[in-house]
Amino acid sequence: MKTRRYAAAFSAVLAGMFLIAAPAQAFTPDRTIEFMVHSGPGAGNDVFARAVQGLLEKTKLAPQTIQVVNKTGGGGLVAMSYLNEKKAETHLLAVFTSVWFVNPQIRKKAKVTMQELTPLARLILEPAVMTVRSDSPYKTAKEFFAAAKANPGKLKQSGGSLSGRDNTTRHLLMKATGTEWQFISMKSGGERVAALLGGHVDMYIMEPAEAIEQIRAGKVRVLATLMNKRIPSMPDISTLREQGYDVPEIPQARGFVGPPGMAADVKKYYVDLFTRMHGTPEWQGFVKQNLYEDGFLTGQGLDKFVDEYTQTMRGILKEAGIKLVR
Amino acid sequence: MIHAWDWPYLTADGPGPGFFPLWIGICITALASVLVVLQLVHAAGQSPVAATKWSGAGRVLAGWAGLMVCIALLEPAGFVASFLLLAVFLVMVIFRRGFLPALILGASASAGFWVLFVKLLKVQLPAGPWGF
Amino acid sequence: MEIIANLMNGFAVALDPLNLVWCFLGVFFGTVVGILPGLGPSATVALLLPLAAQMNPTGGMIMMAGIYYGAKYGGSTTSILLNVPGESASVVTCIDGFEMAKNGRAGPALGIAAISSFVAGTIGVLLLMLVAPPVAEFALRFGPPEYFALMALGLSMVVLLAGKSLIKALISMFIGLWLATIGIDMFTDGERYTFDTVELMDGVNFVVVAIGTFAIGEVLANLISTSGGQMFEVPKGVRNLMPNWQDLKDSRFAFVNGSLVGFFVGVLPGAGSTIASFVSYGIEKAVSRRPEKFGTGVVEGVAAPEAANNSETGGALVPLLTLGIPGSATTAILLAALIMWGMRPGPLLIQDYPEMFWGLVASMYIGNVMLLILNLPLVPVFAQILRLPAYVLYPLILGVSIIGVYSVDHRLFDCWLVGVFGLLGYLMRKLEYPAAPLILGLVLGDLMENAVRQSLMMSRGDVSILYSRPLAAVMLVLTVLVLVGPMFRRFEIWRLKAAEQDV
Repeated sequence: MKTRRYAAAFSAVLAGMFLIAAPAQAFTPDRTIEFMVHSGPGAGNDVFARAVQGLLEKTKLAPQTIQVVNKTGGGGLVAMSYLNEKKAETHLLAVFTSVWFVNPQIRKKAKVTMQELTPLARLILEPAVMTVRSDSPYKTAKEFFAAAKANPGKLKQSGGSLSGRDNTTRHLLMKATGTEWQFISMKSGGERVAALLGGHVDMYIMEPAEAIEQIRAGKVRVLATLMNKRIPSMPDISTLREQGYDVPEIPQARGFVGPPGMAADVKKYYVDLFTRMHGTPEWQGFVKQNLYEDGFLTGQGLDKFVDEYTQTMRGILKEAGIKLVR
Repeated sequence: MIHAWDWPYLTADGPGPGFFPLWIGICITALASVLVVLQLVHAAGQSPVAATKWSGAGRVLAGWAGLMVCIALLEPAGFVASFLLLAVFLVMVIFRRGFLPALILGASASAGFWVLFVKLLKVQLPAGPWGF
Repeated sequence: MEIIANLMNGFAVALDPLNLVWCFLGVFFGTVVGILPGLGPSATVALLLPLAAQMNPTGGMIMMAGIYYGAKYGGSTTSILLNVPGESASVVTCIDGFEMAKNGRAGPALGIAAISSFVAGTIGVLLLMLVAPPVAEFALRFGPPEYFALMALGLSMVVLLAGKSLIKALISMFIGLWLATIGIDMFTDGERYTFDTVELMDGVNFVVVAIGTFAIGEVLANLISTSGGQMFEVPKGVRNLMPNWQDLKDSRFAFVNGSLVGFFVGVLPGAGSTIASFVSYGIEKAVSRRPEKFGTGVVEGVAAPEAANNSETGGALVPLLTLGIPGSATTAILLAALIMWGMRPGPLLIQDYPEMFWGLVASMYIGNVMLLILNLPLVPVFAQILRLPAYVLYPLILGVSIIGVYSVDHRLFDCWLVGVFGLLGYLMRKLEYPAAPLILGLVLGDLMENAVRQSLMMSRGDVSILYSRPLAAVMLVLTVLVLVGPMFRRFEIWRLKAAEQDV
């Protein structure tokens, strides 16, 4: 009892000294931190934000409670504008995904670009693999492309919206191989996989964690990895490049971004927070369980990524025939 | 429906974005005309169509306006204050009760809502300048 | 035999005191969020995800599933009492449930909702346990053309939902279909009817329309009289607050019909419990001996949608547990939770983790019993709400409506919309346009348009794909029967009348 009181007093004094010594670095959150996501409960971003929330609370890295806030609407625009309005706000972060790069280029109503916000950390990259049903006649990517060439527009791929990764990847592949196939948009991930398993479409781009289980059950076959390197958990699956196709990878990137004009010390605090989280075994376990790629990136590296990624998406969108507005 | 003309009706691979809105528009127009014709036929044959009674519509509109004012006040004044006003308005003006029961009802209902939803269930209702 | 042994093991897991606690907490929270409009199971389950990640998988799964099916129980309460749908699937319950309340039968309506939820919830788990793998395989045969046929069948229910005038019902439905086209078009990324607002880009939320046209429309329509006295009769005595034998007998078929429809629709990814409740209501009315009474407060009109709504949970868990495919927002969060616990959700999940699966199944039997015990005593308590005089009740309904709408997406814009739809609801009431077809059109319109366009993209514009596949063809034939059936009946009446005149 006594020792605890002494310890408390001691740490208070220490904290006081610290405050006097370095007032400029004193930012620590003093109320609930909000993690904003642009999608509803259950979507990939929402689950990701809650996983990070859980990890930060479990490892006691965050000094305050964290709350995940869903700001849905406008395919991410509502969340982006909201963040833009909260200039220099110190307790609000948002999860960014590739939509945050795409939206300002294709939507007139998007008021803000990623460069104008305060990117804090890129945390994960989600790899993708090209899958077909296990009884499909195509054993390799080459056979699939050959069939697509022989019957232009006859083969079908299920996926999400036109500006999403599934479709942009399709355009890259079609261009690289001089082929053509159909893209069937479906609302939810469940419907897209079901369409593949039910044989209603010929191909689907899946995340490895999902694919590996379907392979184990003998339901699907993977034709190729869409990344530059082989995925550690699927060492037998060759990359498209190895199979002779020169296609740039488009991983789905997820990370955190702050409002515009975030003060330097605040930014530093959150960057440090994510850096420390990244170092924990819990985080490494989370990345491994989901078969993500560790995409940890902050500072200048991140700024460079933001610029490059924006340009890459621009090229792909143009390629895919989606109207650019700026 | 007017908009629908601007969207591609058909694409190479089936209906475009304009397909459904156009047909829905056509169907609504067609059904509405059928309804009008039927009414006219009815009116011609002596059976008088029961005219809709609009008495009391003023009060309904007043109630509705009250609701809209309450919604307008949600963001500047917060949920509790604006709902209090709405409740008092409804009870006093629409239902012609006294000020006291109106105030008691409004205050207890908005306080109850606040405790239940904001405090216990963490629903983020808009808060006014005074924190609730 | 193997099933019984497995189930016994499952009960051993579920009856573990700690797991019982998780189960109770789950169904309790579920009931609460179900009763409160706007708060749905998906938001609640998501909120608890970080907490559940620190629990053991079986306990966590038991609790989260408890919230999921518990919310379905509570959803009917505000539908029946206040005409405010507690969550999306209880819109259909409003139709006859609120009428029953008006007739002074709120107690029996709430009671039958609880009982049919219990029966259907249990049947849903039973089916999940017995036929999950084959049903999941069957569901995979549903491609876009089959979805289109299912939606057509759903839309044909408008004939059964129509009141006096079929034309007015059809107009109402088409307005719903039109509302469904608002927002970003998935296939072209273009905007439709968004009037250059960001808020409309994701379309009109169906909860907003439902609360506006049902609850606010009802309140506005009742502002005509200044009396403000007690609105409905509430009979005294517990016996009148509970369903009697006749009610149960009338609902027999509805229990079975709703359970089966709910389960099978639940298995289909993306279809959802709202469709299940509409379809089961339609079937109930179609086979009823007193179809003309539907919409005036018949007990089977409450039992069927509530049953469908509850057995849908069992169905929705089928693709998640047997294929690793989430069919809805809530199951997507459950999937994420499984991954967080280090499990690998996929077709082999049950094989890999039998303890979790059978523990979950057993806990769902127990949870359903808990819910019945929890909910039945609440019936007389809730029914007392209707003793409040109108001048107290109406402001309360408006308050609950605003909160419900706001808590969906935390947007003021939705509150404005609900006001607009409230006025629309009032006008429709005055002009005798039924509101249910509007909701039906809104819910199904999107799915149907998607299915048609997906189908035609698959066939490259060849329309025959919509009716040439056997499953789709069967459903389309059913659709035609539903559409033609009443006309035939009307023709019969007309013929009989004509024959009488001849005599």
